[in-house]
Parts: sequence; structure tokens; C-alpha cells
Amino acid sequence: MTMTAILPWRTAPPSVGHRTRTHRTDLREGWQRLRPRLLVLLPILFGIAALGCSYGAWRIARDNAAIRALSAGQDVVVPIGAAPALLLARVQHLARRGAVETIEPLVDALERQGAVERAARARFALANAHLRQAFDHLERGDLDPAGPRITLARQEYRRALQARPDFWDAKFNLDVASRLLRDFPEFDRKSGDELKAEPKKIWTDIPGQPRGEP
Amino acid sequence: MRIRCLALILAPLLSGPAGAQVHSVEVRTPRPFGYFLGDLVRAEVDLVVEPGFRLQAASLPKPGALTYWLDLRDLDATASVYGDAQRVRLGLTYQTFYAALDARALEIPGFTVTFVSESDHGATTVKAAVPAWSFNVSPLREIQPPARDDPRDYMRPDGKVGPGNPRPLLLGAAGSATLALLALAGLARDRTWWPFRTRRGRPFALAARRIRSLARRPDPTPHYRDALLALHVGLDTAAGRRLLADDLDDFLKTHPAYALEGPDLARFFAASRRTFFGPGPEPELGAFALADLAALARRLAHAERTA
Repeated sequence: MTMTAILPWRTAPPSVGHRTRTHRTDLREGWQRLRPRLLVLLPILFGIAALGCSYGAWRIARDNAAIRALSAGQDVVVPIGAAPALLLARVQHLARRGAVETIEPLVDALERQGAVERAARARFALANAHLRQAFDHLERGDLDPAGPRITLARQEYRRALQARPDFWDAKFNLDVASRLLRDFPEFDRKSGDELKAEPKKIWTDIPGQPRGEP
Repeated sequence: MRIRCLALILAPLLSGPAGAQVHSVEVRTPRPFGYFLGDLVRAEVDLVVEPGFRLQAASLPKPGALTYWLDLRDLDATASVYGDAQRVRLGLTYQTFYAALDARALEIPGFTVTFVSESDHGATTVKAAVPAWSFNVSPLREIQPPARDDPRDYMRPDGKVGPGNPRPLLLGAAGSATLALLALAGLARDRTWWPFRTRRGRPFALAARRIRSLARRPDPTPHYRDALLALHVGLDTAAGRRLLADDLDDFLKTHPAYALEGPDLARFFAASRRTFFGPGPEPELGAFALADLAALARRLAHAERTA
């Protein structure tokens, strides 16, 4: 009786051991087949990674040189497909020089590249350029062209804020531009910042001085 | 969204049957004050309606500019069961562009949403009015800033782009290059390339290289014997003893990695016997030429690497 009860337990372990052994043999054979290919593949993959990283580092170093030259005031031409940082540096350079017409395609390129934060900063620089030109006109007493400039500046500030609601410099300068040219709800405007320039309605707010109101 | 302050407006329920179908309309905002120009203003609208009514998506306000100072940026609607009624929660994100001179309350316009219940007798629609609600905006700077000669001085500057940092990529390049060199060293060791030419444990790789260099000479025929000897040396080293034709079966049993090459090894031993102890190599070159020998040695070296 005891023999028959014990026998299955005695015979079972060898079969389990056999299974694990064949399993191990399969693993070892697979590894042996894989090893030579892996040994060929690894240096190639690491080599490609090293080349890619060095190319990226070289590009950053080259862009840095161009960014430094632009901020020093040199007129470095930047292709439309350049890296976002370089495009933004070019936009800021053009904005300092007041070349607003050439900025727009660069901002579009930034937006196409998905660089939301830098596109907002580029729009801010563009708006500042518009606003500075408006100040130039106002200083000369040229009211007619100043109005559209202020409107353009406000549109660009608004778009910069739409992309980046926490852009405090854009909020501040939009406030500056808005005090130059107030909106009037009774202008029957239903949407957006599409205020038609009405030069006659331009004045700078002189706050604190009531205008004949009780 | 965290709702800290509950600005609850229970809309006057519509009269008639519609009033019974729209249970309640609630507008909640995180805070109704302390907004600046350009800030996001969030609101949550809870509409509880009779079960069976479905929100008509086309009746929701469209994202975009609402007035000259207000954009609706984002709107999402989620429906859930609320007790024995149906609740639709609208998450609204507005952005204000009101350049305030003083702190003042602005009103966000209300809107109407339509719910539809379709039955066998036709569709019933009911309109729920979301009331207008207001929030306070604050000015960003003093009303009369200190006077400046140049008005441009009131503006915040354009900002500058900082240079990019190539250091992480350089470190990555250095790391990858090091790993590539290590992997290359591993490959060279595996294939007994320089500087691992005299590596132990790769006798067939050495033999294959020797035979290849012999076969590459301008007149390879006189070196046939040397080539055979080279493979003999390789086989002897692999077996750990002098290997003769009769020992081949034992060798293949103890080294199963080379079992595939058994027939060619037998031909090699036959060619060797005829060359060294028979009539000479010349007639045999056609049967088992130097090129065949080189190919056999290369296959043996390959099998040796996977063993």
C-alpha cells in the first residue's frame, strides 16, 4: 500500500527536471544563435547613436554662434526651416530693427514646427515692433498711421496670450497698447480684435482726469 | 477642476412642461474676482434634466471670440446619471482680454442649450437657459505711471533667446562612442580580429584565416598541402588531441555544433589521405579544391562562434 502511494511522487520529479532542462537547453540554444548577430548589431547601433548625438551637438553649437551674432546686431540670414531658438533670435533681431513685414513668415514657420512657447515670444516681439512704430508716428504727430499699428500690435499681443496665457510681459504691453487706443463696446463689434482703425478716436488715456462726467 | 467658491445661480425654471423637464441649472466658478488681462476664466455648468433627454451638441456655444474682450477657448460636455435624473456637466474655459483701468465686474453672456428626447411619437426638445454670470477684473498696473521721456520705456522689453546647451548631446555622443568601441572590441574578440588574433578557443577561425591567406596568393596550388595542414591543426586543437579520419564520428558526437559539416569533413579527410599518402594533390584539386577547403573552414569558424 505504502509503495503504491509513494511511487507517483518518486517518478514525478525526474519528469519536471527533464522539462526544465529542455527549457534551459532551448534558451541556451536560442542565445547561442542570437549572440553572433547581437555582437555585429551592437557596435553599429551605438555608432549610429554616437553620430546622431554629435550631429545634434554640432547643430546646437552652430546655432549658438548665429544667435550670439544676431544679438550682437549682425544681420545673419536664417533659413525658414532653422531650429526654433534660432528663428526666434532672428525674429527678435528683425523686431529691434523694425522690419515687421519680414517677421510674419518666420512666426508662421515657428507655429508649423509646433514651438508654441517660442512662437508666442516671437509674436510678442512682433507686437512690440508694431507698438514702437506707433510711438514713432505719435511722436511726430502722425495720428493717421498710428491707429492701425496699435491695432496690429494688440492683435499680436492677443495671439501671443492665446498661445501662452501666463505670458506676463505680453499682458503688460497689451495693457500699454490698450490705453493708447480704447475699445468701445458701442462700436457694434461682435467678435475678436478686428477694430477698424479710426484715427479720430485716438487719444492717450490720461487717467484720473474725469471727462465731464458727474 | 477645484471649485473653491460656489457661485450658485439657480436659473428661474422655465414655465410649463419644459420647467418640469429641466430640473436645475448651476454655474460654478473657482473664484469670481482677481482676474487680470489675458487670464483664463473657468466655469462649470451643471444641467440636470429628466432622464431620456440628450444634449444637442450643435446648440452649445462654439469656441472662438465671443466679444471684443472675451474668447471661449475650450468647452467639454460630460453626461452622467444623477439620482433618477440625467446630469450634463459643461466645462467652459474663457480668456479675458479686458484691459481694466480699475477693478470692475464684467458679465459673461448666458446661452441656451437644447436637449432632445426621441420617442416613438417623435422628438421632444427642451431648452435650458444658462444665465449670464459675472466676475471681477483688476488692473495690471497703476492708473498713472511715473512720467517717462520716451514712451517706449513703458513697454516690457522684447526678451532674448538664451543659447542652447549642447552638453547633454555631447555626453550622449561620448557615451555612445565608448559603448560602440566596447561592442566593437567584443565583436573583434568573437571573430579573433586584431588584437585578438592569437586568442585561445577559436582554432577554426585561425585555420580559416590561414587558408584564406593561402588561397589569395597568386599561385595557390603549391600551398594546398599547407592549407590542409592548417585545417588539421584546427581540428586537432578543437578535439584536444590528434584527430584522424576514424575519429571523426566520435568528434562529431562530442562536438554536435559541427555535425552539419560531417560529410564535408569526411571528404576533407579523404582528400588529405590521398594528398599526403596517395598519388599527390593535383588530381584531387577538382574533387576538393582549395576554394572548397576555404569554404569549409569558414563554415566551421561560423559554427565555432555559435557553439
